[in-house]
Amino acid sequence: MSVVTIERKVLEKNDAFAAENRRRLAEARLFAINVVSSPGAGKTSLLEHTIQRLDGRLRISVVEGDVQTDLDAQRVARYGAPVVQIVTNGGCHLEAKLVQDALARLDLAATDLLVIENVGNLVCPANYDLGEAMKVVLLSTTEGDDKPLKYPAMFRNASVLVVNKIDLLPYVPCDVDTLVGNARTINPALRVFQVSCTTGAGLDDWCTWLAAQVTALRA
Amino acid sequence: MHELGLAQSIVDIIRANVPAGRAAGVREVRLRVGETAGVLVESLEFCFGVAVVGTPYASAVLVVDRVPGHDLQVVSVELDDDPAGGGTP
Ligand SMILES: Nc1nc2c(ncn2[C@@H]2O[C@H](COP(=O)(O)OP(=O)(O)OP(=O)(O)O)[C@@H](O)[C@H]2O)c(=O)[nH]1
Ligand SMILES: [Mg+2]
Repeated sequence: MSVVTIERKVLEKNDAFAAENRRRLAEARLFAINVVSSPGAGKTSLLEHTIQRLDGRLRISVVEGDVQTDLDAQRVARYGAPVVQIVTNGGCHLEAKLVQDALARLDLAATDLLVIENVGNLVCPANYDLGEAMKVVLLSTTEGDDKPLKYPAMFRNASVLVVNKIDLLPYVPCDVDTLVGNARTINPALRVFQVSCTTGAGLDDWCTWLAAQVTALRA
Repeated sequence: MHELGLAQSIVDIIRANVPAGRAAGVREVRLRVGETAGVLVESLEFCFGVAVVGTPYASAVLVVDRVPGHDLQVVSVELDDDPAGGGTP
């Protein structure tokens, strides 16, 4: 018997594609976010409102990831943003190669902000780098304030937490302070926004921060 | 669900690191899996068994070392120096 030492990351191929994506996005001086959440937390809703509010200030392009259908891409296209739909056919997360193919179909030179909406899933997307500047994790109040503790990888790997559906707080047993406290136990550096896509609460702060990230990148 | 993809990546890494002439000698593939790597080891072992079907590594087994953190690495492979069926002379 002999032993061959290998010491290679299982995800090295994905990481290599992600590094290439990151280089391409840096060349185009793009700010790119990878938006992750469980199904239905409000990723597409947040995107729709963000595109509307930043219309005329930021040119936003979108990559949509879904297990089936281009329904989310249709929703986003209604607001005039260039969008590429990736259908994973059962795949539970986006991978960097899929995003690379999508980038080839977008005009990066005419984009200030790239939003990648990942497949609705609070588990697998945490482990796949796509080449984004940061992950933004959405958690809605109906999901419960214990979720950061139960799905820690996603909150550890994200830089921003958006708590969505705060309009429903009077009706659901969710304590936002507990939710944010739990998230910061996992990741003390998380920046937190509390929003409602239904009432519009908190969306100005979110959009202002996003625009500032793009400006900082271009300065 | 994504353990099958991971298993396929492991097979690719073995293929890239073991000389083709010794492929049939691979008996053991040692893996380092972090507690927070988001991997279900039992599922990965099952998927590895599926991924090696029809490859020279069909008789290889995964040996998993659990470690803290979110590492997910192929550490090494153990080779039979004289695989049954013979390699290159
Ligand atoms: N009450 C309330 N409902 C919301 C809010 N934001 C989104 N919703 C609703 O939540 C549902 C899911 O929203 P989507 O935007 O489709 O969620 P998603 O995360 O994109 O879903 P997937 O892409 O399928 O994972 C829709 O019915 C939205 O109208 C909110 O702030 N308050
Ligand atoms: Mg959506």
